[in-house]
Amino acid sequence: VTQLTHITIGKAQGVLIQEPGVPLVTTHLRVATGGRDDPPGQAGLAHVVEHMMFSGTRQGIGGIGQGLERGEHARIIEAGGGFVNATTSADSTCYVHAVIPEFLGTVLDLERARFAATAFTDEGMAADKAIVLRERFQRTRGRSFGDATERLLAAVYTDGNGYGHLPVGDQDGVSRITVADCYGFFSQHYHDAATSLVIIGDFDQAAVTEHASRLLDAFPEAAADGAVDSQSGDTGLIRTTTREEIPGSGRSQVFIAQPMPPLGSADFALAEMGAVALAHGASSLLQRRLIGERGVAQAAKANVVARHRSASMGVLQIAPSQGTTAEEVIAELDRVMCEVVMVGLHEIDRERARSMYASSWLAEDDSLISRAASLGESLQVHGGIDSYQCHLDLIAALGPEQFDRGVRFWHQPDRRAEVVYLP
Amino acid sequence: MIAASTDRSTTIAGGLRIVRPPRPSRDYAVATLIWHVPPDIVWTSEPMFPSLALEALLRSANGPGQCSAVDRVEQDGVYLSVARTHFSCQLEVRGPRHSIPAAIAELAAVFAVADVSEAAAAAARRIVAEDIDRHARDMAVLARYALIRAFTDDNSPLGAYPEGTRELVEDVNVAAIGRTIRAMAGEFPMTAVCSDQDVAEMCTVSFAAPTPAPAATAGRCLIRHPVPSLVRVRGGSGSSRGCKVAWGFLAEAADLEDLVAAEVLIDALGGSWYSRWQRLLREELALTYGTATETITFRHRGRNYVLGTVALTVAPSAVDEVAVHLTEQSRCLTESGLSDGEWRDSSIRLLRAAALHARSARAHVQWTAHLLEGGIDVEFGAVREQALRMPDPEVLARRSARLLEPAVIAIAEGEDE
Repeated sequence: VTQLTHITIGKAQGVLIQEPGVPLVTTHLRVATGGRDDPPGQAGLAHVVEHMMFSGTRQGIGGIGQGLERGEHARIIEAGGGFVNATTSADSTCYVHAVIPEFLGTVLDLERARFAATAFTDEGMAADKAIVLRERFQRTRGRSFGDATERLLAAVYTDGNGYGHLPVGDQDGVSRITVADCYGFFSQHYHDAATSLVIIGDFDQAAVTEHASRLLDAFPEAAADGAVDSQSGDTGLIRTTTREEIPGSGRSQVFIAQPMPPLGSADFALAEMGAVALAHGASSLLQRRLIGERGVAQAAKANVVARHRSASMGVLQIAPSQGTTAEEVIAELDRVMCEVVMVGLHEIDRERARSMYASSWLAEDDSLISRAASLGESLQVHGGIDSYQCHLDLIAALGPEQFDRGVRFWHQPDRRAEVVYLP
Repeated sequence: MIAASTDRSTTIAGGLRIVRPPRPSRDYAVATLIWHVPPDIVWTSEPMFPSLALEALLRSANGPGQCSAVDRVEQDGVYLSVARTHFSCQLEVRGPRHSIPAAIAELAAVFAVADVSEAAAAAARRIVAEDIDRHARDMAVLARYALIRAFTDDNSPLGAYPEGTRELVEDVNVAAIGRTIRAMAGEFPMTAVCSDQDVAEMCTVSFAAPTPAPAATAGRCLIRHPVPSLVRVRGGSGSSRGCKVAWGFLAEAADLEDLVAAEVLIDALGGSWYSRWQRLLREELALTYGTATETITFRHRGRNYVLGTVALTVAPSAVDEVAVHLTEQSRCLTESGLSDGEWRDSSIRLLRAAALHARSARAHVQWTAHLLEGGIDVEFGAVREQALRMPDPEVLARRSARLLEPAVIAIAEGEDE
């Protein structure tokens, strides 16, 4: 039996879900800012600020005593066996904890200390900038095809809409960032209207409500022009088909990126459903046709890799089988997709996709950390959690036309970016 | 026979043992079926390819309407994932809770028939080939294999991809797949890790097999001497630009407590933000984004082993500097060991961190499967909990000193920038 409490402090929102019997509590604090808000020439500023949030505080817990040292926040959580992490995407920065219930109070105190008494220093900044560049290396050139997403973002988001770069940042942008830039970014974007908090686990509802309220109270009132931009549309998106070929890659791999509907729109769920129908599971359409029947591929994936408030990006990734060229596998993919778009999904494929999509949602809901993230996203995008709670009903109610519409997002042959790695 | 430990229930039914970690159930369930296969079955005169065989079996049209098992279970929202390690082949079955028992029954039925089509075998060969291609360019995998080969020998099955090579896989025919399926159905011991009781009961009904023949008597120790202190391998064309540096050890464990000592040691060195090498190599020197740790325990030819590694991704320009630091750190560790505080902190951290595995049914099942996939006694979970609850730094130091004789640094270098 779960008990749900909503709290609102200023314009900040919180959702507390008490779930008895779980030996773990998770917190998800989300701020609606990210790489999209990086100023020109400073790609990675939002991400560096996220790292700097672990670099210490001016005051101790509860505003008493000396501030926390660099890394002390993580040390305290991990000494308790807890999990602590933070992530920066284009539209949001998330601070996540999972701890045994006895540590929840400590987490909320630590969170309040760093957001109410932020201390950015030159020394911490130098260390964090170096670490951020190591992170960038590990995520991009440090692995096979690791630079594909960066190339695709740059090709799909053609205008200066803030989505055309990786939130992790780049060498030039990160090297230009100063402590003053971090303070400026923090004071501009970390405010109540941008903040939401989700807590799930076994805890004392009354005590935690009060504690969480104090945490949210640490965020200042948004300035008059500080409201979160929620405009959507497809300005600045790719209008033609582009191809970038990268020879000498050892083996072939094809990435095809296409614009997808904005996160939070009704069409977004259809695009996700389309991905499930096409490539999630061994009997999905592309896996069956390309790997099984035609034998031209040895892997096929479809995922919405950039979930953006104004326009998202979906990526098809195909590994040609031995003896098949990238050109041949793209031609075969287009043949299959043309056929599906013209004829529509067969009822068996439709019902399979419906079941698999619902199953994915159940998996997400079963995980405390994923559920908190989804609820946080729902608070940010919809201003509430109704859409999350009704998601299974929405899936059950989808009709054949909606399935076909979802699949069509994955076939825009005149408007897509191809990145092709060649042997 | 029922064997109980403090944090999970265990049932033994012939050659099948079923482990069910406790967690309040929601609407989602997971079962991981683990076949404990020896690491060299790909390299024998009659080789077996368990993950290829499973992929083929699941895709073979053999039921009503000429549908395959995967067609049928995916209609109910059930995901199937095949994974292969050196010690096991695993099939993860996950999805809506009400669908999982039927999916287990479905899988048992296709196992009983063991009918594999040519088309499904071809698809399975492509899927395993993709896995081989991916692993061949993964610096973390290459560094790990190099590290293992340093302790064993260049031809050790533990130091290569467990399902063989592309050439071997391309030659696997339907007859060989059928032979593998039959062996999996009765010859190899099996463990099922289930997220709830209904799933556990269906596994008992569906997969309880005759008790397999007892394992052969203890063979010779895997570890060779002398062991080189530093090994380097280079990734092939198309590998990443990054290098992976792995420090670690492979040692025979005298008992289950040795396995716990290895886990605590590895955690203290690189398992958390405040671990010794994370502080040095990330926070002080900014040579890496972070350290990643792994402790694998396994039983092979009657002996228990443990493999512990701390690995990090570094740019080619920094790889030599990292190697120097790790060599020096390794020397300090051999001479002075960890402090009492480090032993205690990591023991307590690991004990409390057990709660994190309850974050989802899947995480809980995966963690239990990880503990048991190497064929280690199921009582390991209870022994581990007890040892972590009351850590004795002196005993841990003595045990780890034996495991660390010696440690090796393995470097997998990607393509030049």
